Amino acid sequence: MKVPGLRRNAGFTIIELLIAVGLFLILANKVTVVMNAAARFTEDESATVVLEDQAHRVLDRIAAAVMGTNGETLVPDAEAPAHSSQLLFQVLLGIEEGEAVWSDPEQIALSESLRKVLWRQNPDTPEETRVVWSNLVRPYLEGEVPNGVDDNGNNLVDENGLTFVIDRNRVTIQISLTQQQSDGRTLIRTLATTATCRNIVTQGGP
Amino acid sequence: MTPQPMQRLGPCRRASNRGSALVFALIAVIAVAILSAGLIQLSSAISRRSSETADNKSAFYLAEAGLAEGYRGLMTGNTGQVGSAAEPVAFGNGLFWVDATHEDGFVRLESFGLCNSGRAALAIVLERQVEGDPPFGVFSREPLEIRPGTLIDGYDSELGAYAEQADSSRGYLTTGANGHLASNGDVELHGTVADPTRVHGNIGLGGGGVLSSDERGVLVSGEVFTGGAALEMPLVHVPFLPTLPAVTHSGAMPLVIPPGKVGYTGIKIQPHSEVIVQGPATLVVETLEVASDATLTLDTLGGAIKLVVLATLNAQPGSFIVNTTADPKLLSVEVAADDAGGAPAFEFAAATPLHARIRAPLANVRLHRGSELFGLLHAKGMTIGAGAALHFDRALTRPTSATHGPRLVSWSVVEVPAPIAQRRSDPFEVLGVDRNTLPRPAEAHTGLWLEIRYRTGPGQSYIDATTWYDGFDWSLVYDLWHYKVYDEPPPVGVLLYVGYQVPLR
Repeated sequence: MKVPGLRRNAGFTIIELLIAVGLFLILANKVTVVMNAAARFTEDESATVVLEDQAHRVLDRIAAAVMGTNGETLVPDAEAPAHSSQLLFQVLLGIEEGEAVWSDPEQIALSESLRKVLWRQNPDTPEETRVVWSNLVRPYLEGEVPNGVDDNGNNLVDENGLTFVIDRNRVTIQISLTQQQSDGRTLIRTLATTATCRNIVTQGGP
Repeated sequence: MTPQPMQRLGPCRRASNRGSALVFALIAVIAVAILSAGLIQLSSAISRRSSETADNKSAFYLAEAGLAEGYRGLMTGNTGQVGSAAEPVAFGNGLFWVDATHEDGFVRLESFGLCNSGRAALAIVLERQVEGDPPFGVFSREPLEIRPGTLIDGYDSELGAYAEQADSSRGYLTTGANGHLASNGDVELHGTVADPTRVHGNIGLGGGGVLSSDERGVLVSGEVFTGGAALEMPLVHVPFLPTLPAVTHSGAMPLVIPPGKVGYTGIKIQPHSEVIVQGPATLVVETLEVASDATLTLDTLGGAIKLVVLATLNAQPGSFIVNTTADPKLLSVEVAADDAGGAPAFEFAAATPLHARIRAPLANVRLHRGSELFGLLHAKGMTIGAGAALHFDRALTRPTSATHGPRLVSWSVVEVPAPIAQRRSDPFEVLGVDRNTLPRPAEAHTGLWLEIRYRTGPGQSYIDATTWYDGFDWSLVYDLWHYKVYDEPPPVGVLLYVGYQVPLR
């Protein structure tokens, strides 16, 4: 005697299994693609935020330093198209008994490896103090290659990833930061700002 | 019918499969949850870092707003203190307060801005400028001598050129007014019937100076005021500039000094040669000599020129000194030399009229015969040669924020106090204040004591202020003569002459 339904529960046909496995593989593939895209997006977003955040912080620090100094103490004097990747200055700390009080000489510069922004106090002296403000700097500004030509159309030639252009008491700062992703791609962020020296007193006093 | 043996329907197999879907589902849910938690954490970290940067920037701007508010307070007769840590000012999404410290003519404003997790502290130092140039076209701290045939009158360059304000109805070209002169020393006016000296304005004598004038041949259209207090003259501020070696220029090609700030040990312009200084410029020279038939062109078309002379300026007879815009506001000649009774540090005998503000607080000035000046001449002592003409530009002594307001001498970023810097939560909570009860910026200023004196006219006596509270008659006010700031009510006897003290609290 046949018991209805028993036959259907006995197992799957090979066709059914193949279809099931096929569907599973397609689904797994899709999920993998989506997960990879999400991971890549997350990695990109995270790296972008890190780059922008670091670029903003470095620019803010440099701008604050420039604002605290006097246009006459800035070295070098690099009006466009001249430019520099280092800035030597002294910050006015305040006035005491009618006399201007200046900080020790400070320098903001690109390291020799062209990858780091260094802040140095008393540079090239035994008392030198140094702090790395960023280690993600691009050797050359975004769109620029060292070929003696203005590749990125900013009127500067072969400018480094940290560039200062000084116009009297106004300093334009440009910075390009870069980070390599796990898949070999490179993310670049470029920011620029202009800061004006707010101090008019000179080394001689107010 | 033979009964079929009962088939085992596999209850055991079924039992082993029961709940397997749940296990897979749980694993999937946990995986998704872990992934989601990671993403949320990452997103939150990203968001936190972004908002920290934005908050710090907002705090910086709040501190800047605080400095601006403190400066405004100083300009409007307050101490510069705005709110305090105990009662800050609510502004935008955050708060700020400004601490003001007054010391030896300087005011230090420290402004603290807090916005969410952002913290910033900035400081400026301002130098008080209580007095600008005295409101006279000609002023000397020591004796002043005017030779026959001199004309002194005034005009206002903001209303147009001198020629538009002058007429010849008196038989010679003059505006007929506002040629005020004053001295802390004696004033000698010489004139003859044939060659009279005309002063179209008032004469003020302070510090015990005496006026002596020839009986005939001297016309003073205004009044003579004696017995006033000695007036002060601000000293010359010498900018610190890189100095180039001395230059002696000769030849047909002009020497052009481009816009900017530069110093020279000396500049000597030989006959038939020209030096052109292009504005905007600050030029510091030890000695400046313009020979006969030589030209010094001060090109103020591009901006103002400030010429600071450390030792001597000598424009020889027949020389040419030209201000291209003929606007005295754009050319300032400041003589920093202290000639201590020797030869005048500033000798002017140029063939062309000079449009300039000339100041020599520690040096004597000699204007030679026939010289003409549009602007202002203030010096330690002076001799004005026969036939000279001085046209006082009233616009030069009109009070402005640049001459009467506090002068910024220092700006710096300072440390945020540690207890506030370490707590990065809501600033209102950190300071323990209720946002809704905090004052607005304009309501949070701390007042101070001022001693103010107005004049009723040029050289006139000071206004008695007893009517201040009863309805001050502003129609009597000619200009602000003097004000002095006190952090506390001034001691009795500080007033030297009739004035009044008004607490602005």
